[in-house]
Amino acid sequence: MKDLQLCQDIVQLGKSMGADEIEVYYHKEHNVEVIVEKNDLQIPKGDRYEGIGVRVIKDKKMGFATTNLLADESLKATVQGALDLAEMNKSSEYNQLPDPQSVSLVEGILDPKGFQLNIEGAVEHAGKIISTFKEYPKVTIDSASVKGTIVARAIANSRNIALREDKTLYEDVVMCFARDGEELTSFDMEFDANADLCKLNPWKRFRDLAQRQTDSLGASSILSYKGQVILTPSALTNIILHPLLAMIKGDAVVNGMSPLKDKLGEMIASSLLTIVDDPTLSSGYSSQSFDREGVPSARLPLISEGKLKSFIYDHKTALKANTTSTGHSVGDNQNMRLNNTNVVINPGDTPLVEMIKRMDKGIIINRFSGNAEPISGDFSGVVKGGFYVENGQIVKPIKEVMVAGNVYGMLNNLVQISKESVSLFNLHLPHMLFDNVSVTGK
Amino acid sequence: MLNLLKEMINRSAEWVEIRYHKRIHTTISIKNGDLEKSNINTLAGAGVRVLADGSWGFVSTSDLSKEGLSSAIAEATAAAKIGAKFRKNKIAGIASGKIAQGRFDYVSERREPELKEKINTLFEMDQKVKGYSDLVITSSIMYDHFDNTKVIVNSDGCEVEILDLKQDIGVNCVVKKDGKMEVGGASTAATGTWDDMFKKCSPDELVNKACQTAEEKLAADYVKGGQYTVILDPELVGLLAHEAIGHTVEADFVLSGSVVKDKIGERIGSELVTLIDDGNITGATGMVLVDDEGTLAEPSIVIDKGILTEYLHNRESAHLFNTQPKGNARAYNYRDEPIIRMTNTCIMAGSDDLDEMIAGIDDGYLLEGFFGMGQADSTGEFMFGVSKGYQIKDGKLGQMVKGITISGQAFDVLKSVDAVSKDYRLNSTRGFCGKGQPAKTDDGGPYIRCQVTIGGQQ
Repeated sequence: MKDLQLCQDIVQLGKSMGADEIEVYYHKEHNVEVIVEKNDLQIPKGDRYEGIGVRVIKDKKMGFATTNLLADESLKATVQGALDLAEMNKSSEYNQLPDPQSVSLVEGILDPKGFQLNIEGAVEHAGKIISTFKEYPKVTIDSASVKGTIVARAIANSRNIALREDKTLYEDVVMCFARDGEELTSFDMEFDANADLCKLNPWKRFRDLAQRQTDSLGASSILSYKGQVILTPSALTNIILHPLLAMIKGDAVVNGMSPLKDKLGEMIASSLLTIVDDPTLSSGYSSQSFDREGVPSARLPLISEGKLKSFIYDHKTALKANTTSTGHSVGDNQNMRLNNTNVVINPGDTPLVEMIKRMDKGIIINRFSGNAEPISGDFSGVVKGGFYVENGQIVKPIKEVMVAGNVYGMLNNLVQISKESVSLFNLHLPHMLFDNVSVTGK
Repeated sequence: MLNLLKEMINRSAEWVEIRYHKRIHTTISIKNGDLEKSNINTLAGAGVRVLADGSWGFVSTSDLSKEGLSSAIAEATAAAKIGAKFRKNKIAGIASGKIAQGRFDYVSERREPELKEKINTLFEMDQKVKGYSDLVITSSIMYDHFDNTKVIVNSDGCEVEILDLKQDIGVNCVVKKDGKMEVGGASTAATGTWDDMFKKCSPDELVNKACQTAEEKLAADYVKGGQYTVILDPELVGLLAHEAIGHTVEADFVLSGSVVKDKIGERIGSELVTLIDDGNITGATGMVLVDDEGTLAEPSIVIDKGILTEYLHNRESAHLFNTQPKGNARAYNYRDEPIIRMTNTCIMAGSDDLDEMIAGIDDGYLLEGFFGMGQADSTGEFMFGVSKGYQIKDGKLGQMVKGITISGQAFDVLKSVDAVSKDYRLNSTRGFCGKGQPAKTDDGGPYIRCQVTIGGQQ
């Protein structure tokens, strides 16, 4: 509790230095990481970090300063720095801190055995990853990492918010490509994470990745067409989810940038689509009991059966929109911003293999490298690691194929959602089949 | 600090590098007349890297006492020795390059306006965006100022103090007409003072460029996808040089099997193409006179008249390739270990006249500016979003088009280059290169005429 006490002490200090309101956020983390490059261990790393972020309001003007130098003199200078910045700011009725609310602790975000990963364990785990990929002789690990983190976070503000919690996260990430003589596939990646080290189990995903990369060799282009495409969770993230989530943010809504701003309660997508933001998921990548401002976390439906249900807000954007915060201020002591937590797209009832079988002609887009502009919704880019499907069969890997369309149009051209779902950092996504997409080949 | 770090190095039996880095990062962001963000972040500590038994170990700490540094060296040594048990290809040596000593102040004349004065200028810019036309619905101004102090000491005798100042500014504008919205943006950046930054593009020029682009896009048609002869402007050429070519010649990617592996001495582009990476360019965003391994920067001529001549190295890879590092090992902050990065990457100017280059195209586009995302693989396959384009028909510039993405294989594109302009520009735009860690880099080039695939909705 020393961390929370430190926050409360600095709150008192800030008040004595003239702040009308003050919030102090403490963040401490210990990281153990091993980096793999070129199928070999590259470097084991250790990192300990501890710092605070101070937000002050004076005369309705706000300033923010952070430091990782925690001596008394530095803490005082940081508070003064925030006050000086506030002095230069303009006053705004929206510059307020949130009041305390009842917070329920989210379960499953701390390893029951405590932080378990040390350098020896991480190096050994990295060795297992290298061995797994050795089973696929054409595949090279471009880079991989094994990482464990324990975070302690605490927040206190002058309205009597006083909260703290600990969180562990273990994550494996592999980026790899396949090579056959002069031919190279474009890179692809897989990932697994868990708050409990014993539950970290990336092996099937890594083997699937290595096989997918091997199968991607021998790729060629296809003829242009307009029709069906299957988006994998990775492609779905870049083409659909990122632009859509950007426009569900409260700041885009209050600034008038979001094309969805007047569509609350309206159908904006196929009735097959349900999206939920859920910071309370057990062992979720972005799970937390309270947000960066101390507002309690809660499950929030964003789109239900095609109908737009909610935007996300932090305290300030909520005040601007004349509503209440949804608990979506995220960050650490060094930064804070409005963002999603864990995002879940509800799976459908069609197995992926059936989805492919029902396709007359189309492509599976494994990754998308391109532009997806949130305001207009226009997207255009290159298909990476895709496959061509004809008469329900995967015919060949593809390259030099581009895809273009409009996100908001696509939402109504959703045909099917797969039964299977995977986690990709904070996203939990199925495969999705869309129609009427422009595909440009050679 | 220097003496303390030297004392710590001398105590260790293993090869040690200690890099103290303090960064004060000021960020100001204004949106629609509101000062949305006004932050000062102070981050200071030491990254300790040890080479023992043929393996690296790295530990970072903000405890800069003798005890704290001593403990970090011990932990990094232990990590290296554990790593060595599993590392297959042991590090047999690290090349020296030119080891830096002394004090390097990247910006000797540091006359900066008071922060309050800067904020006033940013508010004025925001007002000018808002007042540009009735179509403007959103304005935003983002300013970042990075004040870096580093001290690097290692067992090879490197003893260097670095004072570096980088800053950047971006302007965004959203316009709306008949229910349709478009975005325009502009930015500039420098290693230098506030005034140095605006020498490249004044506040008014930034505002006008962002607003004009957004408005023009409202009226523009979508581009028609297909294979075209195009002229890429210096911004896109710089992006091509950095994203699609530069990353493939970073020695860590080469060792992983990038497309240019084993191709030194081979023709990989038109003889009109020469590409360099050089940390010494004064004022460029990627100015790095001494890298984070303490190596003095020297220019690398990566492609010389179409022939691949060298890769970009750190000390470890340079030893493997039996060459010398030239200042491309960089770490974002003290918590990061140095990895191979670009600095300022440019395609050199040619001798062609832009008007004549346009006149030589029957059916194609003049493409200008980067917008959105740019990505490339170690295959050299790339994709860039393009801000805007102008149709070229029978050698004449025509209508503006939007919604453009270009793609191709970078070396196929380089081979297709048949004209390179004498006009040249260093882009110095806002933002970072991402490769696990962010890094400030710069890029530039002339106009080049080449073949690319354009993706479009039509």
